[in-house]
Amino acid sequence: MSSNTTINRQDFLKTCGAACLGVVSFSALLTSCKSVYYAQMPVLKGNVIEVSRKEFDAVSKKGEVSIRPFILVEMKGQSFPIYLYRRSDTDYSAVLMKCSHQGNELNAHDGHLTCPAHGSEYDANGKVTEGPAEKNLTAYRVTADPQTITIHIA
Amino acid sequence: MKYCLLFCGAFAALPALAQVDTTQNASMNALFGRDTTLRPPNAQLKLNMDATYDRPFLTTGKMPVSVGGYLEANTQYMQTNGVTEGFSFQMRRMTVFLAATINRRIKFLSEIEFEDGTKEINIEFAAMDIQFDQLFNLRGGIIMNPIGSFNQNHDGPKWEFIDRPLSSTRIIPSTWSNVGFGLYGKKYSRDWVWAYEAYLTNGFDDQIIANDQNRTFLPATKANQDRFEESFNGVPLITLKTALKRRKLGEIGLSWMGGVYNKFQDDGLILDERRRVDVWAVDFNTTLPTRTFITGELVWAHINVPPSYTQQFGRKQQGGWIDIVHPIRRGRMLGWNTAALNVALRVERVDYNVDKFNETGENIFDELWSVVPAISFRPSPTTVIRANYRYQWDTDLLGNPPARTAGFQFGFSTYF
Ligand code: FES
Repeated sequence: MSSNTTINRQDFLKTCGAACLGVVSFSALLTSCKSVYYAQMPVLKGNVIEVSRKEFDAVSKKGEVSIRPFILVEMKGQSFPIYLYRRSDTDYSAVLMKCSHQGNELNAHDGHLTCPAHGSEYDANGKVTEGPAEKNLTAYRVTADPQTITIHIA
Repeated sequence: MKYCLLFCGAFAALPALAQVDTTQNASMNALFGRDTTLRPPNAQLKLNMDATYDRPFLTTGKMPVSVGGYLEANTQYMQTNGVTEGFSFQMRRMTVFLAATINRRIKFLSEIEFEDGTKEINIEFAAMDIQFDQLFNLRGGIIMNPIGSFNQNHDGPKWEFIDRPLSSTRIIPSTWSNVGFGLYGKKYSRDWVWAYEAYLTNGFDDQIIANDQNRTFLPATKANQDRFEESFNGVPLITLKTALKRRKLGEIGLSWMGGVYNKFQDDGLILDERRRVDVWAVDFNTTLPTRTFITGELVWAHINVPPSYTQQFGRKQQGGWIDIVHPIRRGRMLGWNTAALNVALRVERVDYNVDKFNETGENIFDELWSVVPAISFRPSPTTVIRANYRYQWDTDLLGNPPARTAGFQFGFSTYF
């Protein structure tokens, strides 16, 4: 059924105004977003992935440096990203972002991972904090030296 | 002889080498599973008929499609005022869950539900999520309206009770999903989690009053399959939810869903005023130090019913339920390591018509109460075997002595 409803001038203006406002606030939101950061140059060397320590530095437009609480590491062909969490300057943890419930990819937050599928939650070490998941996430050993952070995969 | 030995040695070493390789490969494969290309690289001669198999997810060899779902079935024996329909087996539902990560921060999630055998097949959920920020995710497609807690959290294996809570299926029409889009986000701090959801979707139609129930009944609108195709009246249904959770303490959620349900105009002709339906819900859950888990939901609905409808049609509805689940044993049982044995109780109420009769000032009843004690055994957290006893009082409009229903239910539900 085709409907050719006529709308009056006022309605039209109102709708337009709302739409404009929507677009403006949407783009404002978009630019203010700090989206999840993926490591720019992770390197796969045999059974380890190396990430530069610098990847944790977030440089603002004004040149101020802040430290990211976590970054995601994804090499080409990798099935799921790795969540690399910074506990301290020398202490990091790394877990695979694959929900142990039914294998959905997790969403990353500061210190937590959540599954949009059925609501499972994990802490930064991959420990289940909320079901239905039962098993903890796959965790990797991480070592760090002043320049690089090394994730030991095998 | 020397060569011979060497040769043997090499042979002996081979399996050892191979072994090293496989153990290393196992975790590498887990991580780089996507690279297993289904088509050999030299088979590049494509024909049109190859197109079906030439979808991106097959050609790039991605394997990140997760597949799962859940199943629930039960038996029941119920009696109403001493009359029984006997014993029946019920295949309540099976759902299939499919999800994939399409790209960085772009996900696809879906759930298809087969209810009562295959009497009803629904796409409960099929949405694309785009993450711009942890606080700012865009979701579009068929989404589950975030009203109360049960509607989005309805998976069978999560509950100790065979029937879904009555107020969440008769006032809130769980599972209630619609086409639309919106935003959601979560903010974490050390002990607190704050979350919000906001969606615009297609919504209700006039079947909520024009139905064969002879009362205001929001779930009747689900018979309108066109809601996935076009809005009944062109006015979107707005659903907003916010929830606050304190770790190890509990969570409270507040939600609202509102819109216009009638066709107030057609081809530019005004037919009626805009008649709204508004539903509010409060949901909560907490775990006591005794590990007793308490969860519940309260719901209020306001429906602007035309005056031409009798008072029998509720203008206000309310209801709620509370589940108390107490683990009496946890740990290793019958060879399962993380088993649990629970006792549970649900108390629930639905009042289809909150008003009083205009003429007499007496209460319009049309309501029910129900109490469901239960025992459940969970061999693992994702599987539940449960036995329920239901006792229910249904009071008619005029408040005649209630019809009493009682009976046993026994069933299971599991994720797979
Ligand atoms: S797949 Fe993550 S909770 Fe089910």
